[in-house]
Amino acid sequence: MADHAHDTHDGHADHQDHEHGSMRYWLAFVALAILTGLTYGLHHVHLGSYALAVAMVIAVTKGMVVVLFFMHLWDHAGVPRMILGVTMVLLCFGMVMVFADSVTRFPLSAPHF
Amino acid sequence: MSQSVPSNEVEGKKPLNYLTDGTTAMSWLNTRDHKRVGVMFLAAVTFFFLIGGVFALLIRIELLTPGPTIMSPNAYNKLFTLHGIVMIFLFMIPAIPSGLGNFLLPLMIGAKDVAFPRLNLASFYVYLIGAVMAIGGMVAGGLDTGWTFYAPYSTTTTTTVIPVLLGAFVIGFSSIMTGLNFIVTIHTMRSPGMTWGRVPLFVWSMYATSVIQILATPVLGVTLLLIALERAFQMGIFDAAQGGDPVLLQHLFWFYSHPAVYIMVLPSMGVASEVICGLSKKNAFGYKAIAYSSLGIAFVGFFVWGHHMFTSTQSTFAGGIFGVLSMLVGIFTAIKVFSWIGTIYGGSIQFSTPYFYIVGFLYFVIFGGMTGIALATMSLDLHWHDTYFVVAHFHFVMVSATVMAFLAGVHYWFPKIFGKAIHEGWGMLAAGLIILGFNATFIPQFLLGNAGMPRRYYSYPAEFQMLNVASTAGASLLAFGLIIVAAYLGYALVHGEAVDNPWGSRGFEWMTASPPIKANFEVTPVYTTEPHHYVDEPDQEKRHVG
Amino acid sequence: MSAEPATSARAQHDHEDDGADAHLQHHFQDLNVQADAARLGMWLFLSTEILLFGGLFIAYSLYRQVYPEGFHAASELLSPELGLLDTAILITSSMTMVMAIFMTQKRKKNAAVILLLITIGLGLSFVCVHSYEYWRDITEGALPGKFFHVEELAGKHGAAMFFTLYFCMTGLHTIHVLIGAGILTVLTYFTWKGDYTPRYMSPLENGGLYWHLIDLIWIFLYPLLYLIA
Repeated sequence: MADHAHDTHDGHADHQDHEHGSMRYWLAFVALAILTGLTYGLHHVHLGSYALAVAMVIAVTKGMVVVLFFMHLWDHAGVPRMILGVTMVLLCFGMVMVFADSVTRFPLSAPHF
Repeated sequence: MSQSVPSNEVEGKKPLNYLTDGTTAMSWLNTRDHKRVGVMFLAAVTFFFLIGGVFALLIRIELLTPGPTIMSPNAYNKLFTLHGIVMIFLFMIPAIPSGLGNFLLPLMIGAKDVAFPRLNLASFYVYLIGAVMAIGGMVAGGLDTGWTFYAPYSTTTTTTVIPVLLGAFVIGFSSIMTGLNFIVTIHTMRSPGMTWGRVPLFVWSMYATSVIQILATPVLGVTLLLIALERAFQMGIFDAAQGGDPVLLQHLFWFYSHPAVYIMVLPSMGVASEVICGLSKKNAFGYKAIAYSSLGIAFVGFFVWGHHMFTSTQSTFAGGIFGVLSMLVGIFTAIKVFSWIGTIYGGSIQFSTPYFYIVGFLYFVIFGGMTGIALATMSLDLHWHDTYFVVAHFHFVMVSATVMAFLAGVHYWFPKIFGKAIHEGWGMLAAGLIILGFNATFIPQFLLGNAGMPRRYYSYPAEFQMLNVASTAGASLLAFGLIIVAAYLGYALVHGEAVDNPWGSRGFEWMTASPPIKANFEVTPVYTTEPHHYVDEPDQEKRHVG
Repeated sequence: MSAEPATSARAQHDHEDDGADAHLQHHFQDLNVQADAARLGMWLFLSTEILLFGGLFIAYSLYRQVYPEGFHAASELLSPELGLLDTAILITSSMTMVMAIFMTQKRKKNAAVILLLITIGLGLSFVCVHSYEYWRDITEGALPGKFFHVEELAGKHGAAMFFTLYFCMTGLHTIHVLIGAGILTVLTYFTWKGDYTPRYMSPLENGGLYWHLIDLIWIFLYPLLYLIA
């Protein structure tokens, strides 16, 4: 099966996939399960205005686990990472600017009843 | 330069090229060949350019007199919407990337085809399906919102919004497919020796365009879906009466549509780079500056959408940020303009039809771009917003520039695509008429807008009539010029003299036969220089690489 | 069009002949380049998917800022426990998906097929749980926009907007789950046929990426919609 003989491509990503076992997937799965439990548990703790920030930090961490290990960005550095990075930058800018607009608007022109 | 050009003029029987290799209708309709897909796109966008142009002329005729001229106010509203949607979604967005880009991009990087040929063909059919949906909806009931679909009008008008929205949504998929294909092609299919520093500038501009197509179009998609849902179920997301925010629609719409402006103009900048190098017989001055400024425009283009919303209820704070960021686009564009002029300077200029168009292009980009800087200034925009000044601005910088570059590209690459020469005399005459026509159409509109005539109005005060007549006269001149182009291009297609590389260009796409063979290259090319390498002494070469 | 020259060259070069070379398309240099291209194309497609949802996330951030109390109150109508079940299902299905790919790499075809079937089953059970939630919402009157009629939230501004966003976001997401399950069904068939080998498995990898993206989006939807209170 996948031996070093079969491919000459330098550092090609497929290679690394062959090398590692399934351990990393199990670890990622356990991490996701723990973080899911944590986010659900913290929902019962009164965190006030920090609740959203904490929930988002946990969600981003979970997202990173999925992206890096399940979606293999840990191995596939370079272009796919760049694509995801640029996408997230644009999305965040979109959210920040729409948000900034709505909090600084002339009050009567902001959405309301 | 890598390999000798395979000679096309073997006596007796000519070797098959992509046009003659398979001549049945099925061999075209079911082709995987990027060149044939490109030619089919060229035919389709030319057709829609014609239709959109007819709509434009009808609008101009209607505006000849202050009151009703040839149509009802309702028909007028539908007409300018139709003009906008056809010209933007069906002509300008696909014209250069899907038409010329599809044909040239693999040739320029030494690839046999684009990375996903079937997806490429699919993008053509998806485009046609979207076009049929959009135009079908327009014919069935018409749409009078303008191409911007602003709420609350788009969510309450009784015209047929949903089919047209879904049509635009589907056309967006075609755009995404092309962009995706190009980025993957550029990343994975470059020939040996084609380093990032040797990628032709047209390919760099295609790369930047594709980034926008991929990242901006989905936001338009979800926006159009939300409008459709809002109309169908009154969900209230854009409805102020239910606590929604109509300005959110403008945010989402321009998050796509401002970058989309660069989908239209970046490819034309790529064409300009190629034509200027090829016909000035010089390597690009500031290759890296031109290449990176394309990426810069693509990136910054995402951060400026709010300058379309200065007179909405967007906050002054957000407007200020968007206004300042908008100026950055001017910097990147100026870098390009200086580099092009640096390339022209000291070049051995072959002043021909494509060059004439590029001169026009530079003029429109500079003039139109400067008015854009003025419009991005919030205080000035409050005066000009939604007047003919804005109409004239974007017709100068976006439409004229794109049409100039499209025509320059078609003339410059016509011998490449069809292997036929174009009549230079007619070409120069038409180019002159078209450039004059654009000026005569839109300079009066700058003046009208500054005097306060609002856009999209059916009637106007009598004192505006003279300038409106001038504008309509200019539009007729423009149409006349385009008819000449259509006539001699049609003639050249059939009776043109066979040529291989009439410009003596050393752009990489000319390194294969014209028209190219089906597999593009007889052997995989190996590149040892940058494109447009006209200087043979090594020490002189350095000066030009910049 | 013919792939023969490239194929035969590769077949001589490679000692193992697993049929993977038959999948090499004529315009690619070799299978590695083809796999890179496929992966890159998939990531670009995923970024369009992220931005498709992105528009809804932008709308969400705007309205949550405008109507904090309305969102707070409306979110209480949802069951965090059912949401937790949704999350658990999707995370587990992501795990089985990635293991299916792992098993294909190890040439354990049958294990891969079983794992894929479990993944599809979990996807469909997610749809079932979510349908149950929709049924609950609808019977309570928690409908989008002007159809919203929950007695106890009558005066809460923004509660209706919350449900508009809730239905748009989870609706789009559920459609993606169904599409993903459809794609996985096709991939299961080809895996069972033995088309995918360690050297050629781009469709399976890309299907997996799509499935993980569905999971990824849900990871953000869960706290934003269910856990506001």
